[in-house]
Amino acid sequence: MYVEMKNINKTFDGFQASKDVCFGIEKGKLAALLGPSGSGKTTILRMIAGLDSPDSGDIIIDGSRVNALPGSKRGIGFVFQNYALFRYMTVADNIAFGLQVQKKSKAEIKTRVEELLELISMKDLGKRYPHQLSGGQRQRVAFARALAPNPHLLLLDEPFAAIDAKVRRELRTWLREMIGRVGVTSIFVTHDQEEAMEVADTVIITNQGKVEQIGTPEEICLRPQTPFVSEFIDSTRYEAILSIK
Amino acid sequence: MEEQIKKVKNKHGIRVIPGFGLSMGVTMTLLSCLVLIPLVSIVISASRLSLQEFLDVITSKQIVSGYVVSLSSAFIAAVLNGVFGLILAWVLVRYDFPGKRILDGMIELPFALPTAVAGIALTSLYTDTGWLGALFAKVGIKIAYTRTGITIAMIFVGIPFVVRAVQPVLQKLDRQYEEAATMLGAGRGRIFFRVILPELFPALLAGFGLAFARGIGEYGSVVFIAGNIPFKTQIAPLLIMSKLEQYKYADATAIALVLLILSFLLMFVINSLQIYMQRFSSGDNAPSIQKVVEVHENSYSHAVKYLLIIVSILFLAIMLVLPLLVVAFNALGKGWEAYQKAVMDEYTISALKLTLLATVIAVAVNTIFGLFSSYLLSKFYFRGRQLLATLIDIPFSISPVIAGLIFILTFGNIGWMGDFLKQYDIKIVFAVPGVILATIFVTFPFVFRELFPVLNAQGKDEEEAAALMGAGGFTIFRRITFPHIKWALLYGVILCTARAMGEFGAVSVISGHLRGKTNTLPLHVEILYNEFNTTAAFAVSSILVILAILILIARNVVEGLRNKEG
Repeated sequence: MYVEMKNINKTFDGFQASKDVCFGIEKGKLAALLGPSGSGKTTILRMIAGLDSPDSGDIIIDGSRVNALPGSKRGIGFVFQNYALFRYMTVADNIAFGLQVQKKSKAEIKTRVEELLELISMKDLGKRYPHQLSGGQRQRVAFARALAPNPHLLLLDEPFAAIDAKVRRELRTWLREMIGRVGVTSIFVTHDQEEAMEVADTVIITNQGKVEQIGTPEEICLRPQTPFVSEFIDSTRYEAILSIK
Repeated sequence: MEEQIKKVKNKHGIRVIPGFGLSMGVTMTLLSCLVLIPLVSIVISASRLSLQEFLDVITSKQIVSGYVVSLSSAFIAAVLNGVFGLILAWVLVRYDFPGKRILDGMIELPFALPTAVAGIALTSLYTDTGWLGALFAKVGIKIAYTRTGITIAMIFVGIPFVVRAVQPVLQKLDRQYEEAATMLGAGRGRIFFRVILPELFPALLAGFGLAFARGIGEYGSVVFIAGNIPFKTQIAPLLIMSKLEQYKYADATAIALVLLILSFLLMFVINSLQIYMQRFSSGDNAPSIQKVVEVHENSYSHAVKYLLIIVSILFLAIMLVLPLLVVAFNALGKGWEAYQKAVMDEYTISALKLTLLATVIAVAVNTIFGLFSSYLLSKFYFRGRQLLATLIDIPFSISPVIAGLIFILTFGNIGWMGDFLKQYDIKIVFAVPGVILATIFVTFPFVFRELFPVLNAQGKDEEEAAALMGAGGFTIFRRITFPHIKWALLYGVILCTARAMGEFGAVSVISGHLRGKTNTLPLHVEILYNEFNTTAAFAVSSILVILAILILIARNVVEGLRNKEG
C-alpha cells in the first residue's frame, strides 16, 4: 500500500468528522473518495495533505508515518476545489511557484514550465492571468501547478465541482488520461457517483465520518456491503460504464 | 398601451419599486443646498483672481513651504499607518489573545475624539517637559513644534483608515491561497509577501489614500503640536486660516483651490489603481473558509506571533491611551475643585449646549439624507448614478478648513449671497446657523456611507416582489428595506454623532469664536488652551473624552449585535 490511513479520528468543535477511518491505496492507482456532503471526505484528504492533523491514528505514505511532517515536506501535489490560483501571477508564474520555492535554476524552471504548458495544451497562454481563462483552463493550470515539483501523490478536492456540466465530462476524461500518462498515485474527492465510477480504479465510500466500503467500481456496484452503499449507489446507471471499462 | 410602457421604461427595464421621485428630490435638494452650491462659491471666488495673482499667491515662499510641510508629513504618516495598520489588521484577524476585543474597539478612537482635544493632549505629551517629550529631549530630539510632531499628530488621525480597510478583506481572504502555497513548499515569509500581500494591496492602498488625504487636510489635531513657525512647521490648512484672519479671502481661496485639486488628484489616482487591480478578480471567489487551524506551528511562528501582538499593543498604548491619560491627569492636576469650576463654568455650559444643538441637527439632516440617497442609489438605475455617489463623498476628501471657507465665500459679507442676506438681516457666518451648516457639511456622507453598501448587497428582489403585490412606497420601506439596515443606520448615526461633536476646523473658520454665542466645546478648549488656562482646557476636554468613550462603547455594542444577527 502506498498510502495508508490507520484508525484516524478527527473532531472539529464537537463534530466528529472522521470516525476510525482505515483504508489503503496502491501505488499508481487513481482513487475516489465518494460520499454525500458532510460525510468527511474532504477532511480525510486534508489530513493526508497535512492541512489538518488527526486527533489520533496514523497516516502512512510510502512506508513511513508522516503525521508530524508538514504538508510541504510530504511530496504531495494538491488541486484545490476552486483551484486557488494566485490571481496576481501569470499562468507561467503560478506553475513556476513551487519550483522557485525549491530554488531550482532559472533555466530548469523555464524548461519544466514549458513542458507542463505543453502537457495541458496551453503552450501560448503562459503570459495570461487567471481571470483571462475559462473554468476548464483554470482547472488545467491548477493541475499543472500541482504537478510541477514532481509529487509522488496527487490530491484533488472536488476537481470538477466548479465547472459546468458540459465541459465536466470532457475534462474528467482528460484528467484520467493525464494522470495515467504521468503515472502519479492520485486521490480525488467527489460527491458525484457517476464521476467516481467512470474515472477511479478504487472507490472509497464515506458516510457520517466513517468508511462504508472500499473496492473497485464493479465491486461497489455488484456487491454493496452495507445498506447505506446499496441505497446510495444506483447500480443500474453504471452497467454501461462498467462494461466499457 | 405600448406608449405607456415606454414611458416608465429605461434601459434596465420597468421601474417597479415606488419612491423614485421622492428620494431623487430629497437627495438632490439636500446635496445641492448643503454641498454643491457652497462648493461652487470657491470657483466663483477664485475666478475673480487673475492667473498672475493666483500664481503669485501660491508660489510665494511661505505658501510653498506650507504645501511641502503638509504633503511630506502626511505622506510619511500615511506610510507608517500603512505598516502599523497592516500589522494591527493582521493581529486582530489572525490571532487570539486576551484583550483583543478592547484593542479592536479602540481603533475608532481618533474618529470619536475631537481633534482639538487630541491636539492639546499630543502637544503636552511631546513637549520637552511632557511624559514622552522629556525622554526624547534627554537624547536631544525635539518632537513638539517640529515636523516630527506634525507627523505624529497625522498618524493619530489616520490610524483607523488602514486597519478598517484591510481587516474585512483579510477576514474574507480564501485560506486556500495560503494552503496552495504551503503545499508547494513556500515558507511563511514567501506566502505573506507573494500571496497574501497582493490580495490585500487594493485595500491597503485605499486605506493609505484616505489616511494621506486626511493628513493633508487635518487641522485641529496638528495645529497645536505644529507650533506654526513660518517656513518650518506651518501646514497648508493653517495658512488658509491665517489668511482668513487677515481678511485676505482671495489668497485663502487660491491656497484652498490648490489643496482641493491635490486631494481630488490623489483620490483619482488611487481609485484608478484600485479599478486596475479589480481586473484580476475572476468573480467566482469561493466562500471563505473561516476555520483558522494552524497546523504544524513551530517556535519561529510563535515568536513572530508574540512580536506582532506586542508591537500592536505598544503602538495603540502610545498613540491612543497615553493621550487620554494626559487629558485625565492634567484635568485633575489642580484638584477636584478646579476641575468642577472649569466644567461648571457658564461659558462651558453654553458651549456644550451649542455643541449638542449642532450635533442633533446635523445628525438629523444627515440621517434623512442618508436614508433617501442610499435608497435612491441602491434601488434605482439611472444615468449619472456613479457621479452622484462620487459627489456625495466629496466632503470626506475636503479639509475641514476649506469646508468652513466655502460657507464664508457663500454667505459672508463678500459672498455672493452676502448682500441678499444683509437686506433681510439674516446672519449665517459668525453665527449659530453657520456653525450648524459647517457641522452638517463635514459629516454629510457618514450615514449614506454605512447604508449604501448594505442596501446594495441586499439587491432589490424583495422590494420588487412587495411592489408587485401592491405595497406602497412607505410600506415597502418600513416592512422590507428598514429591517435590513437598522444596525447599519444606528452605526452610521453613532459615527456621525462622534464626528459632529468633535468638529473643529470647519466650525473654527465660520464661528467667529464669540464666547457664549458661537463657541462649541472644541473651540472652547482651544480658547482656554491659548489663554494658558491649561487645567480648564483639559477639564473641558475630559467631557469630550467621556463622550468619545461612550460613543466607542455604543459603537462596539452595535457592532456586536450586528454580527450576532449575521
